Amino acid sequence: MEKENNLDENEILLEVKNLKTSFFTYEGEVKALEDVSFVVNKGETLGLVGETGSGKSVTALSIMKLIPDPPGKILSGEINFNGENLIKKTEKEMQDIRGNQISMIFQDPMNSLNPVFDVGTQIKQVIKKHQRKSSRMAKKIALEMFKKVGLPDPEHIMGKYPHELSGGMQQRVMIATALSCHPQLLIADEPTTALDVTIQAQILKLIKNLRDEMSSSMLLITHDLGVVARVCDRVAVMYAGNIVEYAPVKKLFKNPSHPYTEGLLKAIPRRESRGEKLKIIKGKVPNLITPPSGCRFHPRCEYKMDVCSSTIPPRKYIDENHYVKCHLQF
Amino acid sequence: MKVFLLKRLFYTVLMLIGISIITFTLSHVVPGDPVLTMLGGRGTDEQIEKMREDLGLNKPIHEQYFIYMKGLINFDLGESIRTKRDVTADLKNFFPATFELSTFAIILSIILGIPLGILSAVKKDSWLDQGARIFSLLGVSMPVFWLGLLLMALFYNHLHFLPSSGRIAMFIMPPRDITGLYLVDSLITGNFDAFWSSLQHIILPAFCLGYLSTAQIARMMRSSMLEVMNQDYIRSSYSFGLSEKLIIFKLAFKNAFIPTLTIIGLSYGSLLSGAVLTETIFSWPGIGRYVVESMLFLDFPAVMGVTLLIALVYSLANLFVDLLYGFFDPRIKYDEIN
Amino acid sequence: MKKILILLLLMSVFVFNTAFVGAAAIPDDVLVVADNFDAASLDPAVAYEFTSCNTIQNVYDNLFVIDEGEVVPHLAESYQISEDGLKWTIKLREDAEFASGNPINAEAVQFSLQRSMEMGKGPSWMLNEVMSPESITVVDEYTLEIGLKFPASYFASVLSNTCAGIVDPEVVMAHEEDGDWGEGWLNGQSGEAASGPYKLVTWNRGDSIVLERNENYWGEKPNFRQVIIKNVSESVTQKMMLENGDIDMAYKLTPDQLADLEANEDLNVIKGVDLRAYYLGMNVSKEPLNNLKVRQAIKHAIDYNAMIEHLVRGAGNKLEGAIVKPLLGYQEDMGVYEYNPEKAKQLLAEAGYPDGFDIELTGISSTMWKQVISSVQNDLSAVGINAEVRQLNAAAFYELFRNQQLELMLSGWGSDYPDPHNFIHPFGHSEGSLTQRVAYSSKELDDLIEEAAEINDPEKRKELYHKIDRMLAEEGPWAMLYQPQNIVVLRNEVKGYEYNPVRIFDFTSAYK
Repeated sequence: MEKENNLDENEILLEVKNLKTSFFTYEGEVKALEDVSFVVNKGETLGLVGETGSGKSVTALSIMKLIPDPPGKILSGEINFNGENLIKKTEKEMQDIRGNQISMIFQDPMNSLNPVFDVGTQIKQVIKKHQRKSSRMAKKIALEMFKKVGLPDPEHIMGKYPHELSGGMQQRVMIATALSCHPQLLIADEPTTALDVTIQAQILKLIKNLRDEMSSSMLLITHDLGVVARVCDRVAVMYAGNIVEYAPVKKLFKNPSHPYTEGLLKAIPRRESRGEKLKIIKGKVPNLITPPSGCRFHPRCEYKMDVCSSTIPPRKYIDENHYVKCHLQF
Repeated sequence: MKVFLLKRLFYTVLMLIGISIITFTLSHVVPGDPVLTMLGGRGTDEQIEKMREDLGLNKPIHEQYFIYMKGLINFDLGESIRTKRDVTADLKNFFPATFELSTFAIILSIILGIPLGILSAVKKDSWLDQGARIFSLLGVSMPVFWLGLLLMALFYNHLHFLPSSGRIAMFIMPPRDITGLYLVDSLITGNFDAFWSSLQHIILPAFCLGYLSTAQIARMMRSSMLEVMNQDYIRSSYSFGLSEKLIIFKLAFKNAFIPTLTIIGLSYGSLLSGAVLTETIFSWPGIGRYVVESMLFLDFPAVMGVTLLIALVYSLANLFVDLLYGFFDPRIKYDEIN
Repeated sequence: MKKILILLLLMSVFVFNTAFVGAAAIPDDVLVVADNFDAASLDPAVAYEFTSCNTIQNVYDNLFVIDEGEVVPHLAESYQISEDGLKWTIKLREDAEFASGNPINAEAVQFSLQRSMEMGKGPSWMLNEVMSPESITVVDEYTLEIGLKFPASYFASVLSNTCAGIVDPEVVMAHEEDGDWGEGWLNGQSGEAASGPYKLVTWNRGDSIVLERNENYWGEKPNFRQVIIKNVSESVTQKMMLENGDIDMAYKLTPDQLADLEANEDLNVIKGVDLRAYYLGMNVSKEPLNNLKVRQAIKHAIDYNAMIEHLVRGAGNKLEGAIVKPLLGYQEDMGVYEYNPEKAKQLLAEAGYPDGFDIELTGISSTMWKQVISSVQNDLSAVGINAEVRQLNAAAFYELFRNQQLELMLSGWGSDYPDPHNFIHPFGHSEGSLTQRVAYSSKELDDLIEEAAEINDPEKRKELYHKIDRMLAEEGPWAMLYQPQNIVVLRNEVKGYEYNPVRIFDFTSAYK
């Protein structure tokens, strides 16, 4: 659609435009991303929220160009990073970007670290790959990073294997590794979900601090709007492969414009609504091989109209930084 | 680690005692008489009686067993009924050839099977993968005998690339006997003619013998590689921008190799004990034919000697494999194993 | 990855291209023959297998040898048999020496024979049967006197066996350990103890035996300086190696390869008689095999010619009696029994079994015997005899055989020494190695066999053997299947080889 926002082009770090990704399985084409567009500005954090299966991780992996192919394929769209379209990059060029300019941390630190190498080796090989440093230098940088992420006795931790560390420490190692090359963009895919509740806050705080310290941008994937409220500048709400609402955090919380966003917000327990029954969005995430026609949310929508099942709602700008995909807004 | 090793050695000894009892009993309860076999129906009753007495076959079986075990403790495996030599001498004669063949075969299987498995996993469903799968299927289903003759007809008879039989060319002196392994001995003594000749002679039989395990290793490597490549940590390695080469051949390989290691350990045992057919086709002067002839002869000292030796080598090889697990997988702690 | 592939490729090119280091042609003064090794020991007192016996015939000389079917003095220069046939006086030639240079004298002969008898190993029975260690006396340096237990006219033939091969007492006893008569040492080499045309230099067990010309040998010196006997177990491999010139001769080719081999112009195929008889034995202690008519019916039921035609592609001779070609007393067409299923049925009816009967048929488990067994089984069922087939390993077979527990059995008998007695006695005498296993006994046959064994006049002896063999064919417990042939194939470069059924490894006259 015409103009997406009015911010200075120079400040845009990542611009995702009409991204469409599918998985071709034996059962049929899983249309995982239908039409995804958003922008991450320099120094800014964008929250990507939605239920499981809404396409948050696929979006992240598409940006990294790590969609397993086969069966996955980016069918169309643009991913402009620093003004260059990543979709046109070769695998070799992507390797120089990944871990260096764009880094990613994953949900489950236990499974994200290679179990048969010590963590020192794992961080050093990333540093060596991108910074062309000697082993000794790489080790020095690794130790600094370990210190930065608050690992006690870094020298000792270097020789440890993942299974010898707690979940929180594992995630700190992942964060240290991901940030070791000072990426411009950090994609954090539910970085605290798999951790103990007590650790979650610490890790989140750590990520936030490091982001600020390194003045990186961040794409934070979460299903927790509370986290979004604390960390993000803007938020994109995903449902069944679409961004249904995209807005600065405060606006979204104040003025949710999509019935789905509304539903999500109502599902958050709040102090002032204690005693009331939490509202839950009825129905479940649709099957993406045969997604509902028109608006993919319509079977679950309280405000469903006739047009909803026949026409895909276009993107509608409520103001320059806030759009919504819903027929209601016309 | 020390505790683990001691425990394992203790179990090995227990196992050997068990095997000795079973083999001894079996070779004594099967119908037939080694003396009669030796004479093939000839000979007078007195001669037969004398020969049985000389061999101690008239004593009750448990007494024979204890006499045997008493010798065994002093590393005396007794005298072969068939060859009339010390079994130790016979083993020294025949076993190195089999050991060399099986070891070379397993190394060849590893060298061929692992890259094949990795490549067909990485290039899943490509022509290479399909080819590798056909190769593996043939390996699991083709009779060794047929394969051996096929290889020989092709590489010896038609192409004249490789020799047909034996361990070394007829007019090349075998290297000085140090380990009994021609390849090793010829290298130690710097006898390169002998080395090349031995190498040429071992290729066909080793390939023939190792084909099945090559196929098994390739299949196992492929499936575990496919599994590992789907793991989160491989995805995170990609997300860090590490090169595909490093990821496949180092990071994924080390994980995927562990189940393959089990297969290698098991294969080695079957190579050691299953070399008979290959040895026959390629006239490889190994233990295989010796033990078959000894069995037909009910030559129990020989059968016992071979069985115990193979069991010992097999369990040592598997101990080695178990130690390798620790190298590949740091999660394994030896002293916690019961 | 690419680097590894290139490296592998380079290595294989190197291996293949330097192909056959030392695969050079076989030198003219070396003969390479392939056999399927069954050798257990190469000590003449112990050796009792084909490879070992055939090999050491070249290494240890005998007092007598077989030449063109005749027993002729060899190390013996002349001999005299006493009137009663019980004392043999043997005069040795005086020019014979061991490889060591020691003279082959009466003491050496006495030692060698006594050694075999005292050690009592596999082949010793044939010596012990006719004499005892004490009965050998040295008369003078080159004369011996041997007293026999009975006047065995075939004694010279026994002395031609490898277990009567002459070894150098001095060399052998220098290697004696714990009273083993030097067996441990002689097991794998001859050293200078050799008395024959060749010395046994090395035996790489399972791989090859190397013989080297004995320059001290008194007789005709062989043309080949060295003979290498290679173990090539598979007949298919032997054929390929022969076609490629990697061996000069092969001894274990099979009848199904004959057509190919005979069509090859580089090869010379010899089908020579093998002193061996394959038989179907009938245990007369079992019903209804005790019935003569039943035994005759079975003899008529088997299609011998079809067996020779199909199983060995013609490489065999029909037999009826126990004596094989070309031994004294062999008869080409005896005409006692031949394949005639009608007659077999008639005989069965006469014996009271018009509908046949059930019986067990046992053989040794091997591919060859499997074919023979099913062929016999088919023939028997055609006349109504329902044979239940069993294949046992040799050890189990011989144990049951010895205990008279088999009903019908299939096996073979090979000669120990080339004399009709070595066939007639086991097949006919009630104490013979085979006869007693089937509980057959005939006083008349026993007497005739004992008589024949003591006759010195060949003509008289032959006549008697004709009679015995015919009786055996008519009444005996054996349906003789056939006498197999040895298939020996040489490359055309090898000339002058003469096939001798008792010395198939005799290469003395051969040359390239």
